[in-house]
This record gives sequence, C-alpha cells and structure tokens, in this order.
Amino acid sequence: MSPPRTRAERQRVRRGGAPADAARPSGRQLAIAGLTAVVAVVAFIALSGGGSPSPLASVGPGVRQSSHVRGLDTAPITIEEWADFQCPACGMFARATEPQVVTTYVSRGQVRIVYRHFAFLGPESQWAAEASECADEEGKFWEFHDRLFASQAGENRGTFSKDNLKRIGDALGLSPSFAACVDSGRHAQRVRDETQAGQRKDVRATPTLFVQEQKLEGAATFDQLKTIIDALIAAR
Amino acid sequence: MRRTVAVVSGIGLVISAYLTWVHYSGDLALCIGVGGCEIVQGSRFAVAGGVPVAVIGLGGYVLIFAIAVLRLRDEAPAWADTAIFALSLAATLYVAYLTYIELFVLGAVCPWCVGVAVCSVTVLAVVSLELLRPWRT
Repeated sequence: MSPPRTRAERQRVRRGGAPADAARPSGRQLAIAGLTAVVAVVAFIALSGGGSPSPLASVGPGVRQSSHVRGLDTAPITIEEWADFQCPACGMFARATEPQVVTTYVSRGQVRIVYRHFAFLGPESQWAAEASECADEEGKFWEFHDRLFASQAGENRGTFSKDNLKRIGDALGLSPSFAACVDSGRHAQRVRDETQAGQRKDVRATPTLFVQEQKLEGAATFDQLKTIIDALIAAR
Repeated sequence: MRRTVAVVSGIGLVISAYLTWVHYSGDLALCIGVGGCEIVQGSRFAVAGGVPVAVIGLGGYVLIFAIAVLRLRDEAPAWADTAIFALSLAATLYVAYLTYIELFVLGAVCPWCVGVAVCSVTVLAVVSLELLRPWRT
C-alpha cells in the first residue's frame, strides 16, 4: 500500500481507520457519473433549443401597422424607438417587451410605436435598415422587422449580408423587385439621414426610447414602460 | 489539491454571480457599439430553455463550491468526489459549447464568460488528477 498522502489519509491512519483510498469512488462509479454528465449536457443543449431561431414577435390581429408605425395615429401616447437591427438589446426589446406593449396598449388605441433607424453597428446594420425600407415599399416593414430581430446571430458576420436579406424577403413572399431594391442601395441616404437625425436628438446607444418626451436608454422591460404609460394616461 | 478546487470554484461562483447580476440589472440590454459581452449576453443563446445561461452557471457553481468546501473536511463522503467530478465535467462540456457559440456563431467573446470557462476546466483538471492518481501508482 502506498504511504498516506493527504491530511485526511494521515489522520485516518493515525486513528487506525481505513486509508482514504478506500473511501474514494471506484473507477466504475466515476465512469458512470461522467457518462451521466455527458448525456445530461448533450440532452440539455438539444432540448433547450440551442441555436434555433428566436420566436417571431407576435403582435396579434387587429393592430394597425403602417410604414414604421404600429398603432393608430390618434393614439395619445407615442413611443419612438431608435434601433439597430443588429443590436441584441433591440432584439430583446422587439421579442420580449414590444409584443406586450402592443397587446396591452397599442391594440386599445392608447399607444403607437414609431420605429427609427439608428444603424451604427457596421455595414450589415446599414444594409438591413435599407432592406427594411425596401420591404416597406411592399407594405411589409413590420413583418421584415420582426423577421430580422428573430434572425440575429452576431454582428457583421454575414447574417444580414445582402444575399441573406434577399432570402429573408423571399421567405416573406416579397416580390422580385425587393432584391433589386436591396442591390440598388436607393434607401442608403435615407437610413444615413435618419441615423444622423438620431445623433442630433442625442441618441448614443440602442435601443433608445422616447415615451412622449421621456428618454429611456436600453431595452426597457414591460413593467418599466407600464409605469410610465399608466402615469401618462392617468395625467390626461 | 482540494483547497485549490475550493478556491477556483469560489472564483467561478463569484464570476457567475456577477454575470447573473448583470443579466437582471439590464446593464447589457443596451448596445453602445463596443464590447463582446453585450453581443454574447444579449444574444438568443444567453437563454436556454427559458432560463438565463448566467443563472444556470450560478446554480452549477453554488453546487460545485458547496461540495468543494465539504471536501475540505477530513471525513468528506466518497459521493462528494463523484459529484464534483460529474458536475465539473458537465460544466466544462457546457462552457465548451458556449465558447464554440461565442467564437464561431457570434464572433464575439465575453471575457467574464471566458473566466467561468477557465475555472470549469481547472476544477475538472485538478479533480481528475486527484481522483485518478491512486490508480496510476
């Protein structure tokens, strides 16, 4: 038997107990535990939807959607959202918060949401924004918006390359002129102008929300917005 | 060796707690144009099965650290060795998957996540050396 190595082993030997090796797990036990760990991790990754696209934001039926605006023009409260299609925080807002705001307030005519381009995270931000304008030509700005935010995967790594943007348009049933529009770059100046307009409004990060005049930086939660919106409604 | 495991898993616990705090504070729910953590923690991969990955990491490190401290006692049960081996192996496999996502899908690296990955690999390596050594002699 090898001499005691650890404090526990030495103390056990001094006390006349069994050496610590006797209390160690056997190789078989470790193999079973290791195999269980491997299976558990692989199963968890497979079952947790790792790598699957995010669900599309669902705004429900009956919500009026026009160019860049969700909700009625007569809604007393306007949320102006400055966002970048590549920004993960904008994706979080679009997928988690915005549908709740739409269900709770926009569908009742109390709030309207206006989308503004702040394309500042690289060339694919610019191309995605331009493509959303091309989709808008066919009345599908918001469908395209939702699809982009559900498709995010890294920044400037080809997710929103012009070819992929065209594929997304195809999947939404946009006409062949959509692809020509994406290639033409005819909305490039509009996107740049809007981004510069955001800078003049002191937008520095995305998403930046203006709830009436109140500025909120970051992906506000529904509860945060609810507090502000309810106060504005009560004050009317 | 057991002290090393306890210290390293304690570091892993602190980093995972920080990442969990960041997740819920909303500090990274904002794009400022720089920083790998905003890309990684804001990505769709930051939530698995409805649970934030940061919380999964924190839960795992609470267990690993608790068992590592238990193993500092002279009369630590044998199951503690088996459990810390299995947990650190699971943690290493999961951080390997997450690091793959960072490098090859998102193209962004969050240094704090790398810290957790290093702790996981270190704990597994030290525990494996400790447990496998008797059979080598």
